[in-house]
Amino acid sequence: MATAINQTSTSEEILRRPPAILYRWLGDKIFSTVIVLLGSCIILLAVGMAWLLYTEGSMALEEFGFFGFLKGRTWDPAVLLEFGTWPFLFGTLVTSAAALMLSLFPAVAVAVFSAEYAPRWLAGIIDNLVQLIAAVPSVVIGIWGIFVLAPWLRDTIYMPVYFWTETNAPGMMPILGNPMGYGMTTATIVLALMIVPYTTALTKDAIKSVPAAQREAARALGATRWEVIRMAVLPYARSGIMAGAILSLGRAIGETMAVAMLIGNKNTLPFSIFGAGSTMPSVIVNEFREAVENLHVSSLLAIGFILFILALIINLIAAFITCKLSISGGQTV
Amino acid sequence: MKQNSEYLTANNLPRNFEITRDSIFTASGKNIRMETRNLTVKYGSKIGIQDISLPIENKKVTALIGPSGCGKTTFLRALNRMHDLTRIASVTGEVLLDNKNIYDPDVNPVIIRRKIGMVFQKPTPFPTMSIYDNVVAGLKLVGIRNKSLLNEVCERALTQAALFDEVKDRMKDPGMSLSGGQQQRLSIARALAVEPEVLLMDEPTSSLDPQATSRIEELIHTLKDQVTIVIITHNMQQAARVSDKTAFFYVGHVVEMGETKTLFTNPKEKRTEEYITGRFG
Repeated sequence: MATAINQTSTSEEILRRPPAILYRWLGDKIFSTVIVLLGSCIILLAVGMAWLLYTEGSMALEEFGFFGFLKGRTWDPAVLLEFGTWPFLFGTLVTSAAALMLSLFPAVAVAVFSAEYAPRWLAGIIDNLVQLIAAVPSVVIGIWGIFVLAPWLRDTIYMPVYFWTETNAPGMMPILGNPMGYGMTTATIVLALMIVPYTTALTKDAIKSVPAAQREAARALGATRWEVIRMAVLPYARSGIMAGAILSLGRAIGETMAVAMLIGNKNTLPFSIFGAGSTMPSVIVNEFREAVENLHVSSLLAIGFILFILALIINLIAAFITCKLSISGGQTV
Repeated sequence: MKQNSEYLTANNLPRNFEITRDSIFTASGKNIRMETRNLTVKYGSKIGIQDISLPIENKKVTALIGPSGCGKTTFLRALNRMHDLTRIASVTGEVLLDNKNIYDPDVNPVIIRRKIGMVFQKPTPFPTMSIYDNVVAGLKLVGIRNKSLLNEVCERALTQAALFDEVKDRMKDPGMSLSGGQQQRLSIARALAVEPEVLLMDEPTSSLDPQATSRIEELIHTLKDQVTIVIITHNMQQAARVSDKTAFFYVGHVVEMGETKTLFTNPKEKRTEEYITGRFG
């Protein structure tokens, strides 16, 4: 009882001290103002960037119409001054989607191995190596692709396939394209390699968040290691894995340097499997230095605006999937 | 009584602190289904249970009682090799199922867990599966694909778990759409579907309301003709109601084990009496 009385008297004392209250009130105000300002900066930055890209690109969008610009197949900055982004949009979507499909299974497999099978020391090494791939600057991966991977792919895969097709299925030659080593397939393979770390990291997070009770329930039914993963772990983690894959797709769509170095940079359709192509980021990075015509600059910025929208849509889809499929509060929504 | 638990650790039990056994619980008892011999489980250097030798009678309900953190769950999980999954846990001693040590190197733990089912404290339906798929999950693991057989077993297991009438019209609904008590009965049905010989239950009613609890107690009553049950409970009345045998666990040891009636009315050990009368724990 004595201590209780003491406590109340001291707390009353504190309450009665006016400067402290003023100080605390002021501190609170300052803190919340700073937080609100910083928080709104991010929003302003995002909105401002979108707005800037739109206004700067509006010249091209008005000249050709939004959908005209999207569907236009000609990109001619020299003679016709006609700009259409379809080849780049096509190149971006095809390389990114193919890279995602190529990387998804290995990425999930690495995550499952590191989370479920590998001993702790090995899992640590794997995780660090995977993170290392993500940390390598994309220009370094690009130069490795140019001097090591592309020639190797050309000699061991593209050329044999090309010669085989030449004798056995000449009709396929235009689809196959010129096997010079730099082109859609090489870019896709390097893209896949570059997004593996993201899918792996997000998948591993999702796997790690599966409650132990779920694994044990499967084990107690007499499930083997693989059956536990199939029955309890992967279904529970599916939303995380899907969201991870979609976010990796976002990375692939925006990846610039390595793709620009490896894709061959051909501005006109049709693209072929081995042959050169182009993506939206690669055309921006390749042409911004030489763009002197206002319409050319505006067209490049309009491509930036479309990329921005694409990224936004992908993030929204990822958020939607996380919401829709996630298992929370004992309810499957 | 607080001091007791402080100075009394598994390592420095007083010498006169011996296990009391009923005369029927001799190793030669004919109706013994499972038996542990000098079972010790350590987590790293920390002792979970030490030197437990306990018989489990066939088609009887054995209740494990005792204060929290004194090794009941550790013991139960040792009975179907769930400790294999915990990196730091090490098990020594023997667990005999029909006189075969389940920790022998030639025994496949997956087969053991199919014979010895387990129901956990919290209901654990697989969230992406329907009610039906949850129940037959264990059968599908064994490779049973025959539709009519699966349907038959599903109905049998759900009926045993007293859930069939409530869910028979919505078998395709997600398992998570059920209430907590129904989910727990679904977990029990899932464990029963594979026809285990022994069923281990770790406080199966601790997260349930009284009505759901009584349904599960009824279920244990009806099941014991078919299955050997080992159940952990913190509820003395529940132990008295559902079990035939009771073992009192204290700091990693079994202090006393015997007929439930005897143990509750006339315990031999002072500590048992103190616990069941609620003076500590």
